Amino acid sequence: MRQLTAVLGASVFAIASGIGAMSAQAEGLIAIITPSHDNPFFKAEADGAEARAQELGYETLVLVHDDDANKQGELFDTAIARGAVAIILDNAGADASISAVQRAKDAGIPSFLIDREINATGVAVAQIVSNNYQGATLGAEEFVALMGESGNYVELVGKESDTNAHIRSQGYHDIIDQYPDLVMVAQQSANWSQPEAFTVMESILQANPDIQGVISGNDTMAMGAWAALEAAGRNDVIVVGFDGSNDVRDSILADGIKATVLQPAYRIAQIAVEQADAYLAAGGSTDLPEKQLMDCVLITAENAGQLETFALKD
Amino acid sequence: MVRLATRGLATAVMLTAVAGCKIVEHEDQAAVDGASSGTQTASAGGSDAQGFDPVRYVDARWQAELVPFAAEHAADLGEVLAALGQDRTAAGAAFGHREGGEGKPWSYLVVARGTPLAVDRSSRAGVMPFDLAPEDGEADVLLQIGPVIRGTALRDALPFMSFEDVVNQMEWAAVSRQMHERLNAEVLGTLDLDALVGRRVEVRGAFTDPGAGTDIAVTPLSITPIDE
Repeated sequence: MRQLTAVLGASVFAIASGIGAMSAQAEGLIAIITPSHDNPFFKAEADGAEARAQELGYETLVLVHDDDANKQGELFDTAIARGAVAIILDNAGADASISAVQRAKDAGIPSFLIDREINATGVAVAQIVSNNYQGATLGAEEFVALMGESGNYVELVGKESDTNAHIRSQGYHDIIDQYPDLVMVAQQSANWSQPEAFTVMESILQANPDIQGVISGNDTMAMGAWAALEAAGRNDVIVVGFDGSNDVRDSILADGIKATVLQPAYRIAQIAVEQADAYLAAGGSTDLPEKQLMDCVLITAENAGQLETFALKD
Repeated sequence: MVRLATRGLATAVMLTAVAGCKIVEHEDQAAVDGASSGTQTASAGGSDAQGFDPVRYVDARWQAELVPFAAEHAADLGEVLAALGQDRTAAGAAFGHREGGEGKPWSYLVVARGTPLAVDRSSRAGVMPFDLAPEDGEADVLLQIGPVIRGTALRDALPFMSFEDVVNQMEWAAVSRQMHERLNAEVLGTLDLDALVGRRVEVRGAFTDPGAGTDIAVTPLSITPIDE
């Protein structure tokens, strides 16, 4: 299918370049550029954008930059050469990506960024990211309820250099700290890593056997923590994560981890395509603000069955 | 992992860039001028570089805008409940307010007459089940009585408070927290709630649509006994 898309794209480009027009049109080529699809989060973004673009009548070109800004630059050059009408991008560096997005803009191609921002405004048309703080408050409210508003708990924090680790932790504490009977006995970073969270959880558990809950900055750490708790025979401990991964979904459905918070990666990618379409249809303008935060969704046993690769099915 | 590290740095620096470009409302200009030297300072942990003062932000609006707005523009709770029963989206368009589109729930500023049925402090997020007039003995909504007030309904129901007024979600959350502190201090802390059980009252407040099947919890701005 992708081969066919590429051929059609080339034909459209050939005709378009002959006419020399870059007009607002409902059809054309949309380039979708993300990190490697080895991570299901990014694959979900690419799939979501591709599906929506094709539904709206666009041809698509799906590319991966592997978190390499140089490769990303080359992919942008490809998109420009191919006469793309819009670019959907999960970028390879907040500073390093600015020039590529600017280059596309100069060539008349609008960029719609998803998942993470660049350190510039007025270059991309939109920067659509998950609302990490709002998501964290959802997870924390559920954690408080599950803990019955009291008990000893542990917090696993993400990578210290990642601002999202701090944003989520702040969201957690803005809720949990309102309940003085909930006592944090340990707070430690496991650097977003599943194996590291396993080790950290093991040692925290040895030092603090009397814990009732663990709140984790993301799902991979939650998975590591849960494995350590299970190994220690502590299936009673309440664990809450963040991301909405299939792994944690499965754990929730098996009554392991109790909840997580979905970053709507699939839907955000689709929204970016919809906004690109509307932008083009309006002749290259939008009423929407550039920075847009998309709300996260609480995932529990009630709706986990509808969760598939970062999208909630109705 | 690299993705998340870059995002973190990106967000931190981007927040600062946005802070430098922020359009400041004139009431807040004094706070900003006092706090910043006018130059952008790099902020490593995503913390506030502008010295945003949520107390000043809320105080500037409470008596001047919030109280008169609630007095004039609150929708009748009975009407809103009926509309929600028909079509939640149409109800929002007709009676509610929200910032941001898809996925954002509607918030409603409402006024209601009815009777609190009990005081329930089994959770720190205390509630009073509220029977809307004409009373039938069954609670229609819950009134939040603190000390923990859940959600951000009062802030979210007001069109003159906007996320665009602040730099990031933490500041936005601080606005709601400050509003709740005022409610606890000036409203909920001054009322003898037990004495209101079984009495007809008028409640003015706000709630955010929790979705069908979940109890509506109203954050009250005022609870006034009605002498009848």
